Amino acid sequence: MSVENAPVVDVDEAAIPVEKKMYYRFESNDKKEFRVSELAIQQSETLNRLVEAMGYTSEDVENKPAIAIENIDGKTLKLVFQWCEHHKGEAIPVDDGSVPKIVEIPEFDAKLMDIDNGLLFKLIWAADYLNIVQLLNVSCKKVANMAQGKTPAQLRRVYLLPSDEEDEAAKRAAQEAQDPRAREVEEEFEERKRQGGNSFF
Amino acid sequence: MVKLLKFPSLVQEKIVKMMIFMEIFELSHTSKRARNMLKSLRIQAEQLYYEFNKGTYEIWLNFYGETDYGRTIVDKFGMIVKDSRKRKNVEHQVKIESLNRTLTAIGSHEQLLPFEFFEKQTNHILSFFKVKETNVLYRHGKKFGLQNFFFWKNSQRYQKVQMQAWSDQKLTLSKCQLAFLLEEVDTKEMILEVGLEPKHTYQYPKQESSKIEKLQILNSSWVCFEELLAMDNKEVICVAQYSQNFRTANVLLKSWIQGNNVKLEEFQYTKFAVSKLAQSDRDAIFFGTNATPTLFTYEQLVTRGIYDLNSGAMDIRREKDGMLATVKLGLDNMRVVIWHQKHLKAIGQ
Repeated sequence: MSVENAPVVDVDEAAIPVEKKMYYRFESNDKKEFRVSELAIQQSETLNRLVEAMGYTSEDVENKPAIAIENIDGKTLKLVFQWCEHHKGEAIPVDDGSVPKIVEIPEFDAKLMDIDNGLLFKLIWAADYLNIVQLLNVSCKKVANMAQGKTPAQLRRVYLLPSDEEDEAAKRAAQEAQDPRAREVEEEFEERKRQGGNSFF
Repeated sequence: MVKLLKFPSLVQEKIVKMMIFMEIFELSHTSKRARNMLKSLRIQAEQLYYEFNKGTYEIWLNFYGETDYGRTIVDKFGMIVKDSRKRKNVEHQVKIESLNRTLTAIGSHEQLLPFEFFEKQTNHILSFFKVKETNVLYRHGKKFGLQNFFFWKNSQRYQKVQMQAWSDQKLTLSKCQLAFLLEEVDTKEMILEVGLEPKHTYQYPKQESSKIEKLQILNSSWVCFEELLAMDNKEVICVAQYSQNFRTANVLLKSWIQGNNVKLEEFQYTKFAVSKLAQSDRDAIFFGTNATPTLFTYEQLVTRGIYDLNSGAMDIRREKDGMLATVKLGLDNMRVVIWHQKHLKAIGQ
């Protein structure tokens, strides 16, 4: 199934599914609403527990307000639910502790994750927050694959790792921003040292 | 571009565990913060092998199976990092400074000799890998401070320590080095194919329990057979030298009868031609031991790995504690199994 045909859609863009299954309604932090099948929700341990605890009936899911997911935006949540619908009913993998961990990225997932890195970053956060094991696996794999054949300098660029010098500079800047007087005192101290003074006070 | 350090630590761990050794190695050289992240994750490796050859030093980290490994090799030309995964037989030269035969560690201007460089890199790698089992294979013929090698500090207990030179070389140790290996190193298995320096004799420690479970001596030129079993290892295998013969086998049996070892479960004296001995010499192996034909059945002996009873087996008893041993002569070896409570229980006695 292609990404375009996945059965997760914004409420205002598509018809309500005709199947007699329960579809829950969720709302992102930017007020986008999604309908997600009961089976697809099982891919997320967090959401599955939540809906179980709520104990909604078919009427409740229609009449009560959509369940708010306050720290994930609509763009990210759409990808998450597309993934869950595509993989609904699949077994949730158990971590066997192997290193390096072998994960294959299926074609659908690869296309789904053909997104900018900012959105990929949010997708990983969302998969972690919602505890969707396999989505987290494939998205982390995509990030791990970025390291292939890279030198330390290239890795610094890929993973936005500041060099030790940049870290030091940032730390100094943060200190200065917090207390401009501290910098002045330090400079005064250095100046007195240059002049051969034994004591600052 | 993805901000790796901004992920929660569980996500960072997942990402790093999906990388191969070489990628983790490179990541560790990007910055202090990346290094600290790796140190906090402490990724599990199944086995660590140190291998020391003449002028070449290696460490292997085995991961999920023997075929999944990361390997670093240091010699005078630099360090090569190899990885068995994903990109088969990928090699990668880290740094070459062959003209003055010193090496420069990444991120440093310090000039080091190959062994110093190896120590530095090994300590660096082991700061972010947690290792279940450590093994040492030492093939270096050169005499130097074996006891002071850095790797002894990196592990409390070893799986296997092997001191074995290549066939065309000879590994000779001083008595201090030999004493260190036999008395200080805590290992499940020790394999020694070493000689002792001329005019040196090894003094066995008295009344001391050995930290070595299984001891294999492939060159027994330095061994005092009267005292060998006093070390109280769980298992001892000793290869005979040309000058040793059936009388040595007799000495071993008598030393067990007179000894106090309580852990010893099995010992073997191998590679001496039992099959070529005259009957009188075969009998001489048991001289003074009060050996009697074994009372154990074939099925009972099989539980101790004794299958061939064509040439018979003998039982000997240690008077002072009543311990019983069965001695089996093979074509080129003498095998002795000692019956502890657990073994007798296993055969219903």
